[in-house]
Amino acid sequence: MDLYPRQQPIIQVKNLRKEYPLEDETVVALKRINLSIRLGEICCIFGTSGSGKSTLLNQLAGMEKPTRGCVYIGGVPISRLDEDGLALFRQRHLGFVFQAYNLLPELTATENVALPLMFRGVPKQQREAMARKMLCRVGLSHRLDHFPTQMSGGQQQRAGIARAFIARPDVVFADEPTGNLDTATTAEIMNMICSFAGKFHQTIVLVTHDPEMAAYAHRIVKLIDGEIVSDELTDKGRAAANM
Amino acid sequence: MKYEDIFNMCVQNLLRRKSRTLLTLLGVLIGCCSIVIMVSIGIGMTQSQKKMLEEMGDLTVITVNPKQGGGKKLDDKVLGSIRSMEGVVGATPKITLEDYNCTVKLYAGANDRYVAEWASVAGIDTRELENMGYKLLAGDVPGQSGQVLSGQYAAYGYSDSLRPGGSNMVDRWSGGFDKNGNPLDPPAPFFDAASTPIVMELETNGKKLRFPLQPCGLLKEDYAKGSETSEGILMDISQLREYIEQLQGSGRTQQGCRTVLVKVSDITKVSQVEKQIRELGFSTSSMESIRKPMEKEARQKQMMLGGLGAISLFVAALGITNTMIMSISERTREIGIMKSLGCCVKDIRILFLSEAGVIGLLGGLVGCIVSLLIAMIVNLVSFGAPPGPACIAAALVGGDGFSRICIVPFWLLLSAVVFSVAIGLGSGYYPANKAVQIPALEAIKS
Repeated sequence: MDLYPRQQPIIQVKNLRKEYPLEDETVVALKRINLSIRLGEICCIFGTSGSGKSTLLNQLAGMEKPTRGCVYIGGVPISRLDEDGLALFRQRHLGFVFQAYNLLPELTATENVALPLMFRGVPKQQREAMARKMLCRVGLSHRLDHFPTQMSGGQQQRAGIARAFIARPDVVFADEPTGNLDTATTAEIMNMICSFAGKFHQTIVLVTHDPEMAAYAHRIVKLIDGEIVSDELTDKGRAAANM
Repeated sequence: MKYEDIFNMCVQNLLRRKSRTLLTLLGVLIGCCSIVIMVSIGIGMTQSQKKMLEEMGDLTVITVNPKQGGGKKLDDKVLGSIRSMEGVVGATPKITLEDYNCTVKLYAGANDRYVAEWASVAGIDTRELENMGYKLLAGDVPGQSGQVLSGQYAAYGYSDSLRPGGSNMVDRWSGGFDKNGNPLDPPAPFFDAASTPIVMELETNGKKLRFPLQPCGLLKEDYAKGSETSEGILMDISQLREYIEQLQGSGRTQQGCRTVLVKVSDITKVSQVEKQIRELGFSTSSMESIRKPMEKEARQKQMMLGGLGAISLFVAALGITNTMIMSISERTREIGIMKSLGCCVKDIRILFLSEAGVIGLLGGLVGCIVSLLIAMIVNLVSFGAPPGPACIAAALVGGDGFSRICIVPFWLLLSAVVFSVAIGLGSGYYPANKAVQIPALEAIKS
């Protein structure tokens, strides 16, 4: 899986600016962001609501086009890809964990987890076998054929994590992954994400407003009003960097 | 994405809102039914019209006459050029006694017991008899001098001179009529017109001549060819000319004839041949002059009926569009999630198009089955007969002696299904485009 040399930046953000035109004024959500995230890093983008952290995540994941500047992932300028290019890029390189879990209600846990593989064209038997294996690893071996409504929030999010990691993406974006969960479950979920990332040397971009989440990150990027005001390694990050 | 997966997803989505899918499908079904039934009624009308015309006479015979007030003569040269036209399989000159101001009486039986005061007598080139499509009900083509063919109902024209007036004729209509206006088993005439020897008496300006004739066959009635096939006698043209010259002096019949009958190989070539003959400077008439306006009218009716059906299918198309738009607005978030997980734009478009297409396909298929049933029931009711297996088969695929109101040919069913699918795809196009434009960002919005 080591497509990129260690310590090399996998995500590079260059002079990124995002404006939202409103009727009579323009809101600048991101002013001028320059950032690079290294391979295997667990990077926490921290900020209060309105700080632009969600906008930054959207930009990093290619969900929106920037007003200026560009985001590169593994050297690919994803801000300039078209819809189809983005879809293919997401299939191969990106994973998502959502705050609202976002499992498709009509599909069972197994089918949900297998979705990214289905979009890639992996045959049903093969992808569902992989999905079951993945679900067992997140501790849902007893929920394989349950529908999302039949599962608790924590269970749904674990299925969400299984789905995000099943295709072995290079980067996983997590948008407030524990925003809807209680403290105990939060720890469980975060440990799971971190352990997966460590195992396959995947990069995690975590967006949160919860200072406690910082404990799980290697690096904390703090945003206020669309600008990076601090960017520091945590103890954990320093330890990882020295390894 | 594999097509198999797209298909499964599409079925899953349709089953998810069963009642909505069912209602939309019902719309397509009704639309499809109304088109099929309307068009089948149109086809039934055209068919029964054609049948009716065919009963009246040969649709491929053209009668050629010189133009009114002189004009070119119909001589052998003209006949030759008509025969060489494409599509012409036979042509014969035809003369009748009416052309020569003769009156005619026919006698049959011992001592002229049976007398026909009037008969239509015509002469054609009997060598062309078969090519011209004359049909014989009995007997054979005349080969010897004095042999003639009798019209189908020639024997009914005679009265019995030994019986009192009023009851001296056999009324061939006395048996009653069937629903098409044809006589029901007419009573037997006094004698067999196909074989009983007769005597023809011609008269011009007081001069009378009698010619003994031997009928050798019975012609089938055909209005397109002339009334002699019904209530007269037909003989070879040279023979009739000879009789007339004996009566009126030689040279009378040498000026070309007044009528030429032309037989065309196929109904579609009639108007083309007619046009060519008109260009030669003659006037023509054929069943085409009746058939054409009838056909035009039938086509107009058919289009009107089909149009009515099409309106309901169009309404059904709006139903599909509406359903798809609804389902897309419900699934906005889902589409966003799919996109953020790497679903290609193309796959999303195919997914929604196939949902609409499947509604069209199912509606079309079920619609076809339902319209076959409706057509069958309508036909059965129109037969009025108690429904048996033979009747049901005849109602579906037709049979001898059954005239159907709704005729549903296979091509109609096939095109109805294809049309329904096309309507489905067409009405799914706009919603599918809408779905494609939903950004992946929708997945994150809470």
